[in-house]
Order: sequence, then structure tokens, then C-alpha cells
Amino acid sequence: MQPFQIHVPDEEITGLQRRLHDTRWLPEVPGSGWCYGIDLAFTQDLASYWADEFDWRAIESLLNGFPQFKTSLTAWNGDTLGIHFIHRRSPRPDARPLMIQHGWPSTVYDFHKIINELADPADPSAPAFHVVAPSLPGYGWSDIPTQAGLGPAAISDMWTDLMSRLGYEEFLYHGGDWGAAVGGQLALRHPDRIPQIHMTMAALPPGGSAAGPQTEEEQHFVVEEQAPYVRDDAAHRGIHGTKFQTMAFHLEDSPVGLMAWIVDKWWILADIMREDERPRGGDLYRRFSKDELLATVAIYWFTRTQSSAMRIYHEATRPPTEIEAEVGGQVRLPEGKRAEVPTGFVKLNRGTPLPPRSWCERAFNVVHWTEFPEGGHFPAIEVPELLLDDLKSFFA
Amino acid sequence: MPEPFKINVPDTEIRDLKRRLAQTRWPSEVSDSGWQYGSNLAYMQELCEYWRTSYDWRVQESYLNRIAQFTTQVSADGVEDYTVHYVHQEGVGDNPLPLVFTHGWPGTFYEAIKILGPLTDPAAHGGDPADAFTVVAPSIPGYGFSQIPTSGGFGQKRTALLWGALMEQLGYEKYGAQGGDWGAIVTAQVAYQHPDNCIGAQINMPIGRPPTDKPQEEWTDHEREVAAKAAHWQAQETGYQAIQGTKPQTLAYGLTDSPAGLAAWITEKWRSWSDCDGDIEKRFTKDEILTNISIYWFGQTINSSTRYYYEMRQNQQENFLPGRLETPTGFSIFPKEIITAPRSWCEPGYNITQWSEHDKGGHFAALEEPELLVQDIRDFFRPLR
Repeated sequence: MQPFQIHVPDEEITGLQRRLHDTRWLPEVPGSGWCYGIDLAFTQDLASYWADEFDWRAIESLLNGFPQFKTSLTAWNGDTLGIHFIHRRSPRPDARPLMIQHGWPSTVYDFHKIINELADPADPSAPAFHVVAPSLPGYGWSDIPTQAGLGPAAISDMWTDLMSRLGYEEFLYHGGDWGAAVGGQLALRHPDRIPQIHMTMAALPPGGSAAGPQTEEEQHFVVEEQAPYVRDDAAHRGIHGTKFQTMAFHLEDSPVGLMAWIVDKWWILADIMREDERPRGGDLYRRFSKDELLATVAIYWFTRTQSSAMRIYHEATRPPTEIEAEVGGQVRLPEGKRAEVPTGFVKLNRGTPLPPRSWCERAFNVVHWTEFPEGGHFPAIEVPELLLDDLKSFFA
Repeated sequence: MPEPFKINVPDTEIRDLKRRLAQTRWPSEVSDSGWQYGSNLAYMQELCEYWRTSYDWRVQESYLNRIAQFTTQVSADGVEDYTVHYVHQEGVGDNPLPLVFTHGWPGTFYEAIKILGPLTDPAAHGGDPADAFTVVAPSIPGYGFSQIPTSGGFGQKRTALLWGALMEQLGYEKYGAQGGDWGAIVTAQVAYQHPDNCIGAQINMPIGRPPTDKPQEEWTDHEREVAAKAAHWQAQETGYQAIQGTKPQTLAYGLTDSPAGLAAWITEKWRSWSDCDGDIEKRFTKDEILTNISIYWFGQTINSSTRYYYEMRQNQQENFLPGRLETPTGFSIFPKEIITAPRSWCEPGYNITQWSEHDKGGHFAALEEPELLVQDIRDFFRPLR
């Protein structure tokens, strides 16, 4: 296990700035705004800020303020990868280990507002945690897998190895997006390690999606929330899940292309649109500063991980191969399994639709259900106080 | 009024392209994954290196400029005025039939290059001069060298209305229409919207729906096969449609900025949609692949061309045929076509007078199997002239 500090070489930063100044812009339909995707004027303004005002070194030192490490973990398929993680130990003797897991298009940066408060809460009566925040394989400063096969199930196995190495037999867990998919697998595959799990999204059931609507409320959810989301706003899942490599070429070559692809998700999934601005409008700066938006995009750019980050969509949706089924490293578990680990869910005010509690209960042992009045798919950045309160009350 | 048009990309643009290619930042890939997850890294590096160092745009440009091209402002009821670029090659024969050829995505008017000669001058290509066509091959607005639409809503029906007005402007009262991909939809619309002028629609991409009154247990083996192929297509190959149909502009930033990215986006389709057994160069030379891509690059049309999917998705009622097409319709069926339909599924929507199945060829029939396609076009229109 090696201590790790982020250091992007100067020439990478100037190279990025040069590319941004050199952007070849698309012709738009004048006045079309956000109708066809990310608005051109918005994108040009943000790109210009990225090139001329954004201070990567400030982000870097913010992240380097957290203790970071890399350690080698071997996946079920034999791939050995250096895994990057933040490990912030609590000074409190009663602290318990807590893993917090990002998804796409996020990174460990998502958690910078909550890590210190989780580890060393201002209120001495609040629970305290030894916080472990890993970068998913192929994300951030974790190594890029050379082989296929690392879906949420395989990653959940690696994470229990990681926690063992840190001396944590039992650990609490929080995740959203792919972090929730990994969490579902942890709860199913390693219930003896995870006394409680907290998620803002449900990979339903942990092994798939077919438990199906069974009540009027669930049917309403499918028609009014899930179907419109899949129809209008989930195209990234299709292309990431099938031909991600075709996407990889422009996203690794064009910083503005990468920025548009990532910011699109915050635009749609964060809580930044008023009702009268739906479906295509809103103001990203209601929730995010430019620096917050660009910190994440810059991490994907400097680490060159957008191409590898997309792969998990494919890993999680393809059927398991014969070998995977044999060794138990499959990406999906059979339908009909229920995870009995006590589980807390947060229904976010915006984001990928979370099915009603009754549906989640068929796959998870739901003991805690909170509905946030505001904030979307990225709660650790959007509404850190709400998330902290809910984590503290659930894990109390 | 039609103005003669020559393609003339400025030197600065060509130098800029090569400079960008030279500084490409390549993605990682899963080892030994071939084309399983999309464009293959080694092939894209080879193709882009060729684009930068060996490919000669000026040679291709002067080759294209030997084909008679024009631009003209076209006005049609219910459509904004557009400056349309088109190839216009007169037929050689006693009574050449005007034929409007519509390309698709990710194609351009370049798709017509191999069929232009045999269609316009059959006698020079071992055919009968009585089969001659005068070919009009326009660039859809937002593609090639036509004007890029400056307002929303420009889809397939409006394209067909423009084509009708273009043919009228060129003085053609009776004409035929041909196309695949988007060209298949536009061709059917040309016939539907102009029943007194368009005498026949010849289409190489059959579009039909499974019958609602025939239970699946009664389907033939062929119908089952087609349905299984369609389901696989839907699950594995339509990611591009979903993004182009919902947020084309989010996608287009990178494709407009990165020539390697644009090349990867288009090349994957040419490979997987053609009858090439996985080896794209069995069907297309690098020069052919890159000329088509270069037209997208220099024209900066990847945003507007993919927007065509959005316009269809947002307004299917306008863009799909509102009823049965009673104009005689011919279908050419190639085995590696991306989506196909048995004749029985197409009958309810079209007055089918030709159903021609081939044992080789794919989605890009005009480039892949020009002789087979030309024969079908001649055979189809012969009784209609």
C-alpha cells in the first residue's frame, strides 16, 4: 500500500489549455438553446473559463488534503490493478469504517464536502467514521483494466479485499449511481461484511431489473417517471453499454466534447431545473460553481479514463460468460434474490428515477426511507448537509 | 436559379485537419477486443495516419468536381427556403427518365458516385440506352454542401417537399425516386407527396411492421428470423440512434472538434453495416471511407446531420408516411441490410411491383453492389416509363 498524491504535469495543463483555445465549434440552429443538447453559448463560456481561469492546482491541493493511497488488487479474472482511494481515519475511538462510492460521471471529488465531517463531526454526539472512498477500476487514479470482466459484482469482491487489507472486517457503505450497483452486489454477496448499506439509487433487483411493477403506484412510476427518462434522457446508457469504444475516440481527443458529454448528465440529473423550465432548460449554476463542474471533467481528462469509465455499462448489462458463471465472478446475479442487509434509501428530488419503496423492498431489506426535498443525482455536491444528516441518522 | 458548383476546401482547412490528426489523443481499449465494443484502436490509428499522410483531398476533390454539381435556392410550401447542393448528370439516350437519388446517414451524395455512370449512360456500361436516367443527387440540407438548416423541424417529409420543388425547378414533370437509409424514407415521401409527378419509388431498405392480425405462432421461419434480427439490432446496434435522436448536439461537440473521433463514429457504421465479413476494406478503400468522412469534416455537418434523427423522433407523425403508398414501389433486399422486413410485412404500406432479393451486399448498396442496384433500378422503372 503506497501513499499517493495527485500531480498532473505542467505540460498536461498547458496542453489542455491549448486544445481548449483551439476548439473547432459546431454550427448550431440559432436560438435553439438546450433543445438539441448542451447549449452552445453555455459551452463556449464554460470552455473559456476552463482554459483561462480554472485553477487545476487548487483542485489538486484540495484532493491532496485527503490521505490517499494506491494498492494492488487482483480481480477474479486475474487482472491486477492499482486501486486509488482516499482513506481518512477518524480521530474518534468509536468510529466505524464507512466506504463511500462514486459512479459515472463522478469521481472521488464528489465527496470532498462530506469526508471531513463524516470522519470528525463537529458535534461529538454524532457518529464518526473511518472513511474509505475508492476510485472505481478504470476511473480517476485507479488503473485502467486491460481485460473485460469487471462489473459491479467483481468490483464488490475487490472492495471487500480492500477493506480486509485496511483491517476492516465489517464496514458500512454508501453509494449512488454505479456506487449503488456495487452496493447491491456487496449486500448480496458479502452480507456478513456489511451490517448496513445506504444508497441513493437502486439497481433493482440487485441482479437485474425485472421484478416488475406490481401496484398502481409502481405502475405509475414506470409510466410517469421511468419511461420518459429512458426515452428522452438515458441514451448514454445505450451507447456506453454497446459501442462505448466508438464514443471513446472523440471523448479522449476533445476536451470540449468530454465536457459536453459529462455536463449533459448534471444538466439532466441534478436539481437545476424549475418545473416551468422542463424538459430542456434550467440553470446549472443554481447548484454548481464552474469550478465544481470542471473539477470532475478535468479529472476525467487528465487521467484519460472516460473510455474505460464507460465499460462498466457494458459489463453490468451483458449476460455472464460461461467462465464467469463457473467462478462466481458474474456481472449479474439471478433474479428473485433479496438482499437482507438492513438498507437505507434516499429518494432524491431529481435524478435517475428511484422506484417506490414497495418495489425496493422486494429486493432489499429497506429499514430507512428518506425523501429529499431538494437536490438531485449528485447529493454529496448538491446538498451535502442533507446527505450528511441522513447518513448520520441512518448509521447512528 | 441553379449555379454551377465546385467543391473548393481552403488550404488552411486541409492543413488544420492534418494538424489536428497529428495531435490526436488516443483512447485506451480492452486488449484484443477487436471491434466488439466499437471502433478498433489499431485500425483507427492506421486510417487516421493514412488520412494525415497519404490521403490526398485535392485528388478526391477534383475527381468529385468532374461530376456536374450545382446549388440553387429551393422553395416549397411548408418548408423554409434552402440552398440545396446537388449532382445533376444528364442521361444519354432517347428519353432519359429523371431520377432523384437520396443518400442517408452517415453517407453523403458521394454514395451516388458508382451508379451515376451506369444509370446515366447505360450504353457505355453494357446496358440499353432506353434505360437511361438523368440523375439528380441532392445533399439533404444539413449534409454535404447544402445549407445547414437554421431553424428546427427540418425532417424527412420536408426534404421530400424540397425535392419535389427542386425537380419542378429543373423542369422535370415526371420522375422516379431512389434511396436507402434516410433516403428510403425520403424516397417514399417524395412519391407520396408528389403522386402526379413521381412515377415510382425504388428503395433499398425495406421498412415494414410485423402484422398485428397474425399471431406469432403462425409466423414463417423467415418472419421469425427477421424478427430475431430486428431484436438483436435494437438491443445491440441502436445506441447511436438513441443519442442522435435525443441530444445530438451533446454528442456533436467532440465529433466536430476531433477528426479521429468523427472518423471512428462513421467508420464503425460503414464496417458493421456493409457486407464485409468484418474487414471494412473488402468493401471500401481507405480513400472512399475518408472522402465521405472528409465531406462531413470540411462541411462541419455532423451536428446538423445527426439532428435529422432528432427531428424524426420528435415528429414521427409528420415524417413517416401517413398512409399506404399507392405509387408503384420496388424493393432491393441485400442480405447484410441492417433492418429488413419480409415482403408480407411491407405489402400493407406499399404498392409493391418489384421485390428483388440478392445474395450479397449490405446497407450501402449503391457503393457496395452498384451493378446489382443499377439492374434493379432499370428493371423497376422500365415498365413505368
